[in-house]
Amino acid sequence: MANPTFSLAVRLLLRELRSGRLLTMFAATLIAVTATVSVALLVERVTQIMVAESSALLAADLTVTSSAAAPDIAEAAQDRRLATATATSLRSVVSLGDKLQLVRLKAVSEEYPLRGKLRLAESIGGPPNVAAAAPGPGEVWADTRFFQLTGATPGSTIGIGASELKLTKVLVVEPDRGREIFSLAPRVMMGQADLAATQLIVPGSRATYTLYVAGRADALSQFRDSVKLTSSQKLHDPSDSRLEIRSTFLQAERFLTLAAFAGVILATIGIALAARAYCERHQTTVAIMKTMGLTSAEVARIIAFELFVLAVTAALLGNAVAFGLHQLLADRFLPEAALEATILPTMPFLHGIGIAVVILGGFALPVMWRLAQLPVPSILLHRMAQKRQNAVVIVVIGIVSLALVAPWHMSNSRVIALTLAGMLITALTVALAALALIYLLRMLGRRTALTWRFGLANVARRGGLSVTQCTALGLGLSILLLLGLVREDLLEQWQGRIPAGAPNQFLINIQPDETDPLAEYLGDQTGTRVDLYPMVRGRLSLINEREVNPNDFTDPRARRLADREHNLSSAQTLKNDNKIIAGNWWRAGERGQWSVEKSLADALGIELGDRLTFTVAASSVTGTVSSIREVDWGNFQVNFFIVGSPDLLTDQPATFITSFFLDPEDHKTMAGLVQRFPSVTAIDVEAAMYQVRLVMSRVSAALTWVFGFSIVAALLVLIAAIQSTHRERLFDVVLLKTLGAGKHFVSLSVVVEFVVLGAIAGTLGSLGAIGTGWALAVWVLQIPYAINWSIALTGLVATLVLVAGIGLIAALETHRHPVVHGLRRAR
Amino acid sequence: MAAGRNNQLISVLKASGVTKIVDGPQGALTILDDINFDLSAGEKLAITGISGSGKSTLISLMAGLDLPTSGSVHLMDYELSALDENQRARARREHVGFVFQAFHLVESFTALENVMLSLELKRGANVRKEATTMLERVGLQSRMHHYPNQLSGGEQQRVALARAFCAAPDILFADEPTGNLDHTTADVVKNLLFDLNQQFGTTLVLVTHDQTLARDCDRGIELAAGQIAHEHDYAPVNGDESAING
Repeated sequence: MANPTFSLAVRLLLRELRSGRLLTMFAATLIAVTATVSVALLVERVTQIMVAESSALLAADLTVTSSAAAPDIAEAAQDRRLATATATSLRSVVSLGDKLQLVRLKAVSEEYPLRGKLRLAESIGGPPNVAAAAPGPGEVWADTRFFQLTGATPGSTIGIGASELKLTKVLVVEPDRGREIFSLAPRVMMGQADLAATQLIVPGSRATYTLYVAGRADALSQFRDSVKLTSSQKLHDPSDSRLEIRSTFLQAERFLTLAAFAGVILATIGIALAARAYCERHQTTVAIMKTMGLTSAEVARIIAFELFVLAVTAALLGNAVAFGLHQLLADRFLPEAALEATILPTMPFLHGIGIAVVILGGFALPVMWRLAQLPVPSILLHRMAQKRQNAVVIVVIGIVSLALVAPWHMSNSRVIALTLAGMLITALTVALAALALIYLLRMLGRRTALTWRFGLANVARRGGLSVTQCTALGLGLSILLLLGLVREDLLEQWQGRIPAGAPNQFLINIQPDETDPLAEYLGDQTGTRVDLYPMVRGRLSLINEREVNPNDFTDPRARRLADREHNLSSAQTLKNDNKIIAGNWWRAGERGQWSVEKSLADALGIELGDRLTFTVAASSVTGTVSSIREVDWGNFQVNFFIVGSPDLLTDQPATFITSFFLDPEDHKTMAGLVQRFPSVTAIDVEAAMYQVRLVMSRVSAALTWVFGFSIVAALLVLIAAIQSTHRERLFDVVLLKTLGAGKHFVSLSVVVEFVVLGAIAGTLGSLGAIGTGWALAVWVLQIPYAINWSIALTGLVATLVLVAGIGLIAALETHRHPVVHGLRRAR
Repeated sequence: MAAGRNNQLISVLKASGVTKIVDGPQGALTILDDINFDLSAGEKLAITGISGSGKSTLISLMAGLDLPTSGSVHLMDYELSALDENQRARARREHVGFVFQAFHLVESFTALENVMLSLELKRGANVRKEATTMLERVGLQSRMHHYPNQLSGGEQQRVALARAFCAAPDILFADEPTGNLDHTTADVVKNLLFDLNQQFGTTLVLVTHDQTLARDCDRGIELAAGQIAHEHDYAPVNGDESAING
């Protein structure tokens, strides 16, 4: 910038700051940046924590499983300074004296687990403690089921292959067991160093080799991109963890992204309104500078410099405040261990600066630039109507600015795009509806009392400004309500997913003659009725008379499904948590029908009308697929991929399965059950459920906090919107007073104006939120959506009361000054 | 009068056939039609006429804030129509000062800062002392740190005069400088304007409705419907004005 323009710009900025004229815009930018950055910081931190929680369920950040050891992949990870651990898992028979037991044996390296903790107990039912290291040489751990099935006790010696190892501890929590939570074989864990001596691994052994990898995100990403996997190797990341946790994380991430973007939109409205007031106030300054000989370009440069410095200063200060707030709140809301495991993200700070510069520049610069080009007489005589910036251009610039500062980096561009589209449609609808309503009110106003007439006339007279105010307020409310509505839906759905009293115990291997006494026993002990479901093991052998061969499928999951035995069940009625999405559930008396779960049907290409044959023991069971079901796998209820009509499995050797809730403190019931029904196998999923609940409660707390911040940002919009007509209103009030109007009349007419604005904005904003909320729930978050009228109504009333209240304060403020001062201020 | 009529051979402002036509709702509208006059250094010219006669448009054209549809304006050594917007701005910065009816002070600046502004635009920093002296000359030493909305109309116009004169312009355009003021205050501002004008030897173009104010100038032109209806010589040659033309 040529001298003296630059130094002049600095001096002008300092003077303007000192005079307080830039305070509104500075405050708007500061609060907007603070709100947006602190929300984004929390969102990114929570996302990191969610990933860490997911990693704990995988015992690593990434795993690679294969049918043969892959030392080259481990080396590639180590070259990138990533931590590695390995495990070899296989089915094997172990011996305890003359007893033999099929187990899932897992030999782990010393570093295992890289994420999450192993927890061990000294005895069955004893308090679990975190394991300091993997099993030592000659040592072996086993889960409760192993002890129950074999009668072993800690201290027993068991034979594994050619080795004799000492059973020392009860394995209570194995972090990466999540994906095999319902695997029936008891689990035994030993040190990898002892594996060779067992001689179990020989050419042709069906073992699964797992490489655990953990470390910095960038190194992981590079490793992931560079690693070359063969068809028998598969890479897993945290998203492969339990379905219910995965969907919770996904929904939470999308909501948080939505909340962060909502913050950006609210900030944009606040800054845009403040920028408008800035432009109004600077008209004369621009004209004066031009009459004094500054060129249009110099004036424009001075304005650009002023805006840039203002934006950057506010953004830096906003970043500092946001950081302080984040530290304060993160310490309170997020667990210490989680904070230690995550790093403070830097992107939100840069984004904050970007928002301030782009939004201030986007909304103020074009107007001011245009002003700088106008002839001085036009500016001074306010003859700018015909040369005023084209409204379409302003809207386009606004949209482009908003699109530029949208948090695209926060993973889900679909959420951003849909929210942006929803908000633009809402803004347009609100603007058009406000225009129509204001026109109507103008007509109506002619027949009302003087105070109402004056108030309505004010709204109508400031037509464009009123529409802007209504749109800003309506959009602000819409965003706030949207967050409120979606948050309620999410929380409700999560709470519904694992409601209090959801089953935490599963019983399997219940013999047909044990069903009645077992149901009676559990009824007596827990006071609830349990449902027992028949279960038959069967392998899918034919689809439409064609043999099922795992090698025919390319998808690894489809291969596994084609290769394994399925738990088949039969039922006369459809369970409540199942939903038929194609075909029909059988009616009483209908025979020979299967109902197949959707994901299994998709994987194996099963369609309605297909004939499926399962091999059960030595016989075959054939039926026709009459329905495809969706199953809620996240609710811990007993469910089956394949259910048949009652006739199909009548003659097959079935055992029964049930699930029920047991107070975690109640150890008596299970002890009695094991004694009375020794052949029944109990699976305790309380630990897994606790993990899911913990994650959900943390994410819920984060949502509430983020929502609170959005309210602050919305209040900023409210204040900025009302401030935008302050000058015009002050002049009106002074004029009324000059004509002899009393305080009561003046106050009432101002309140009427704001009540009308609040009512229009509140109504239209509520409707906009309901519409966008529906679109997001259905298309993005994929949660059921029921219109919550009470929240919409609360929003409407709150807007009305707040806007009218602020209007009243504005009216009272005008009474504080003598008319003559008011005239000067208004001028 | 420092420069006065003795300098009349040096022309500082010359309008030749200046015409301004704008687009109106009912077609082209002629605001000014073939305006011709010549103004010498140190001269004081009053432009009078009823509202809508084209006075403010003429002053805008003379100062290079706008361009005529046809004709030419010579300001100092410049033919304004031949200059681009930037060159015209530089010409204004070097030679022109303004005083407006509505004062047009920068709201967010104090009186002192408003005066400093014009010096800073012309010469850069370190102008506080000069601006302070100038405000003292217009009698506002106790109001230097007040913002415009804390000043009366008369005080604001005195700040505007200080702002205009402290940059020592060659020519000052004053558009109805007393139009927003009561009689007494208007007299104070008028006296101040002419005193400063004399001290600085500035050429003055004064747009006014006020015939008394006009008569304090050397000569005047009266506009009617965009044309010069009369030219007046107010110089006290024979003790009273005489109409030259019309």
